[in-house]
Amino acid sequence: MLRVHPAMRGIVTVANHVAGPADAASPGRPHTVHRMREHTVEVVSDSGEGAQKCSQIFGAVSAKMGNGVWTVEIIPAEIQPPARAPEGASGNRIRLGAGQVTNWGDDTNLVVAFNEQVLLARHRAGALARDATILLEDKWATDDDADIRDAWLQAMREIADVGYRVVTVPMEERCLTLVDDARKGKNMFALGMLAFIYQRNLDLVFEQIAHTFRKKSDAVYARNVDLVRLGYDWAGAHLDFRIEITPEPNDRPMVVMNGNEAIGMGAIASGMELCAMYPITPATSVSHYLSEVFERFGGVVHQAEDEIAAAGVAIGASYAGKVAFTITSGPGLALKTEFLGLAVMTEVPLVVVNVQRGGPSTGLPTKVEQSDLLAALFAQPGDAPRVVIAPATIEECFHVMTTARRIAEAFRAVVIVLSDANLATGVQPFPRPEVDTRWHAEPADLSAVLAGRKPYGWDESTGLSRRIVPGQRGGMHTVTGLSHDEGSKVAYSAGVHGRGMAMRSRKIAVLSSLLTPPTPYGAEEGDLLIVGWGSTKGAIEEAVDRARAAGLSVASLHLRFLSPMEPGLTAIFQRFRRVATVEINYSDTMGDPYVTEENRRRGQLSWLLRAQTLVDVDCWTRVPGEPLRPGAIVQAMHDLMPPRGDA
Amino acid sequence: MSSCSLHVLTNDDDRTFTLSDYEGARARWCPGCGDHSVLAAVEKLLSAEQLKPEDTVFVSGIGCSSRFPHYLKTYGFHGVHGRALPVALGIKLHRPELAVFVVMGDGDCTSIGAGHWVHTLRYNPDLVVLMLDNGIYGLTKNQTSPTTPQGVPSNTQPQGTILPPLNPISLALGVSNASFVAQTAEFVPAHLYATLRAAFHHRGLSFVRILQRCPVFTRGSLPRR
Ligand SMILES: Cc1ncc(C[n+]2csc(CCOP(=O)(O)OP(=O)(O)O)c2C)c(N)n1
Ligand code: SF4
Repeated sequence: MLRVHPAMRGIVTVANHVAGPADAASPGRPHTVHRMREHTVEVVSDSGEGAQKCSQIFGAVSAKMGNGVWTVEIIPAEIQPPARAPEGASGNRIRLGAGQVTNWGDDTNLVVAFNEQVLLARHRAGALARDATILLEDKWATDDDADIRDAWLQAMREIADVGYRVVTVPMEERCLTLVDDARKGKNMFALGMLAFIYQRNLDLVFEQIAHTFRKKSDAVYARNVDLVRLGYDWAGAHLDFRIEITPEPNDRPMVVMNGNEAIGMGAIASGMELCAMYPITPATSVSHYLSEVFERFGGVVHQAEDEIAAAGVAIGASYAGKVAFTITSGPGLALKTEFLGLAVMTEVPLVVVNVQRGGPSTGLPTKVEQSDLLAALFAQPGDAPRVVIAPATIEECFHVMTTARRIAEAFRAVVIVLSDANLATGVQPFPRPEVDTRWHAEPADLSAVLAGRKPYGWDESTGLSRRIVPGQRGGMHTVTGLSHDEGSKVAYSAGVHGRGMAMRSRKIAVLSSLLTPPTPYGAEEGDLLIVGWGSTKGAIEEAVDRARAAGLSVASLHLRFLSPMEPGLTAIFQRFRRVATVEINYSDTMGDPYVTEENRRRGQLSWLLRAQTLVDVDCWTRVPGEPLRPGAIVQAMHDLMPPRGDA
Repeated sequence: MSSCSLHVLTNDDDRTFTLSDYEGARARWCPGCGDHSVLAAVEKLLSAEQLKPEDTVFVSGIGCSSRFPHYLKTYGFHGVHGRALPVALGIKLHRPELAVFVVMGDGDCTSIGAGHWVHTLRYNPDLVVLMLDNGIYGLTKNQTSPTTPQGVPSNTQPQGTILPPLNPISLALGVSNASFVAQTAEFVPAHLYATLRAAFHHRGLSFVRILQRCPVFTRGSLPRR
C-alpha cells in the first residue's frame, strides 16, 4: 500500500483504494458537486502513452454535450523523448465553458498526470492554478528503482508549498487487471475518470471512441470501453467531488474539429480538388484529412518531392483550369518563394496555406508563433503583390478557404492564408456551416476564345482580365515569368514593364475597395486600442472584457485582411489616445541595450500599420512558444495605458 | 491517365493542321543553334500526329532551350529555372486529356532541377520530356554544366572542366519506375524524329536526351553544322 512521505503530508489525499473486484460495484463516496462557469483540465503523459487521444475524445464529447471547448496540444519537442522526463510531457489542455470558449485561458484547474515528472513540466511552465487538483499515478512512489522513488520525493518537495491538491491514483495497478501493457490503457482509464468528474454522457464517450479507433479492430474498441468504465467506477468510488458546467441552451447544430480539419473541409467546400504538399509540422494534418476524403470521393493530394515542387504542381493544376492549393509552414513558404513570384507574374490563381510555427529556420516546429506575416507579404525579389488573409478562429479556418479560392480566381491572384499552430491543433465547436452555392467553383470555361481577346486583356481601371486556359480553341499563347504585354508577348520596354506592374498592383487596390472597415470590440473610442491578427483574437477579446470590467478604457480591433489592409484604419486609430498591437512574434523592448525609438525592431503588424497609417503604433509581443494568456494581455494593457493627460 | 496517342483518336472536328498551324514567334536562337533542329522536328511531329494546338501544352524552365514554347502556336508555360516538371505534372494531374511536352536544358534538368527530374521519372506521368543537352550553360554565357565534358574550358572553369560529366541516361535508368529513356542527337534528323515519335506514343513519362550543338560556346565538342 502507498506510503506517504512526510514531504507529501498535507497536500496528498491518498485515495483509499482497496484493490479488487468490489471496486467497480462499490456504491462510491458521497460527492460534492461544484457548479462552475468554466474549468480547465489537462492530461499529461510521456509521449506515446496516449494522453492526447484521451483529451481529444474528452474535448469532442464535451463539445457534443453543448459545452464551449478550446483545446491546446502540449507537445514534446522531440519525437522520442526519454520516459519520465519533464521535456517529454505530452498531452492536451482543454478549457470547458458554459458558453463559447475562445482561447485556452490562463491556468489549469485539474490535471491528470501519468508520472510526477510530466507534472513538474506543467508546474514549472506556470500552467497550473495554485489550487489545482492533481490526479497523479501513484506507482512511482513505490517503484523498485530507488532513483525513481527519489525523483518522486523530490518532485513532491518541489510542489509542496504551492497549495495543489494531489490525489494519487493507482492507474497502472487498476489497468493491469484488464490489459497486459498499462502504457496502452491508462489513457482510457483517465478518460473514464474525467467522464465521471465532469459528468459526461458515457454513450457519447463510447461513440467517440468508436470514431477515433475506426481503423482498429472491434477488440480494441471493446477493451477501451472496459478501461473507460474502470476509470469511471474508480473515480466514483474514491473521489469526493464532481464538477458541473451546465451548457447554455443552444439550438443551432454545431460541428467540432480542429483548425487543420476545418481548412481541409473548407478546401473541399470551395471546390478545390488538388492539394500539393510536402510534409511539415504543423501543416501536414490538413493533407491527412484530405487524403482520407479524396481517396474515397475523388480529388488529389500530391505529396511532392519538396515544397518547391508542391508549389509548381499546384500552379500547373491551376493553370490548367481550376484553382489548386499548396499547404506548408514557414520553411516551406521560403522554398516556394520563386514560384509564388511566377504565379503573380503569370496571374495563375493560387491558394497557399501557411500554418505558421516558431522560426527562424527550424525554430520551434511544433509551437505557435505569428512570425511569417512580413514574409507572406514581401518575401520575394521584385514587386509581387499578393493577398494575405489570416483566420482568427477555427470556424474562420473553414470559411477562409472558400474566400481564398474565390479571390484567387476572380483576381487571378496568389492568396496566402496564414493560420498557425494554435488554430491547427486547437479544437473548438462552431455552428455547422450551411452549404452556400457561392462557395463552389464553376467548371473551367473551355469555350472558344473570340478573336482579339488577349490572355492579359487588362481592364485599365481594375487590372482585371479573364484568363484563358489550355483547351480553349483560338486562345493559344505562352505564359511567361518574363515581362510581357497584354498578349503575353515578351517585351522589355520600360512602358510594358511598368504597365504590367501597375495592373497587378491595381487588383489589390480594387480588392481593398470591396472590403468593409473592421469594427472595434469593446468600445468605439477610448484610451487604448489593441490591434491583433490571427489566432490571438479570443484571448485579446477576453482580456478586453476583463480590463474593461476593471475600469480600463480599452478596445480591440482584429484584422483578417493583411494585404490589402482593411480600410478605415487611420480613422479608427484616431479615436484612441494610444494604439498598440499584441502579437506572438519578436520585437525589441525599449530599454534594451542599443535599442532606440529609431532602430527598434517592432512586431510585424505594428511595422505594417505604422507604414500604412503614419500612426505611432506601439507593440507588445511575446514568443513563448505557446498561445498568449488573457491574463498576461490584461497586464500588458495596464502597462500600455497612456498616462493621463497625454493627449 | 489517357495517353497522348489516345488523345489523337478523339479528334472530333474536321480541321486538319499543317506545319504552319504550329508555328509561333520567329525563333531567336543563334544561327546554327541545334535548338532550331529540335523545333523543326517537333513541329513535324505535331502535324504528323494532328494534335489540336489548343489541347497541346509545352512547359519549359529557363535557358536558351526553354524559349521553345514561345516559338510554337500551342499553349505554353515558360516558368522558372529548373522547375518545368512539377508544373507539367500539375497540368497533367488536373487535365489528363491534354498532350503535355516538357523542354529543358541540361543545367535546367540535371543541375537545379535534378530533384524534380529524378522524382518525376519515378512518378511516371504521361509526359514527353525533352532535355536539350548542349553540355554548357548557354543563356548565362558559358558556365560549366553537369554534362560538360571533362577538360572543356568555360567561364567558371577556365582551365578546363574539372569533373567527368554526369551521365543522364545511366542516372535515369537508375530510377525505379522510369519507363522510357532514350538518347538522340539533333544533328541526326531521322533518328531524332523516330525517337520523338516513339516517345510520343509511349504511355508514361518518356525521357529523351537530345545532344545539341551550341556553336557559340561549345564549338568543337559536337559536330559542326
Ligand atoms: C533560380 C535561378 N538561378 C539562376 C538563373 C540563371 N540561369 C538562367 S538559365 C541558366 C542555365 C542555362 O543553362 P541550361 O539549362 O543548360 O540551358 P541552355 O541555356 O544551355 O539551353 C541559369 C543558370 C535563373 N534564371 N534562376
Ligand atoms: S547560346 Fe548556344 S544554346 Fe543558346 S541559342 Fe546560342 S547557340 Fe543556342
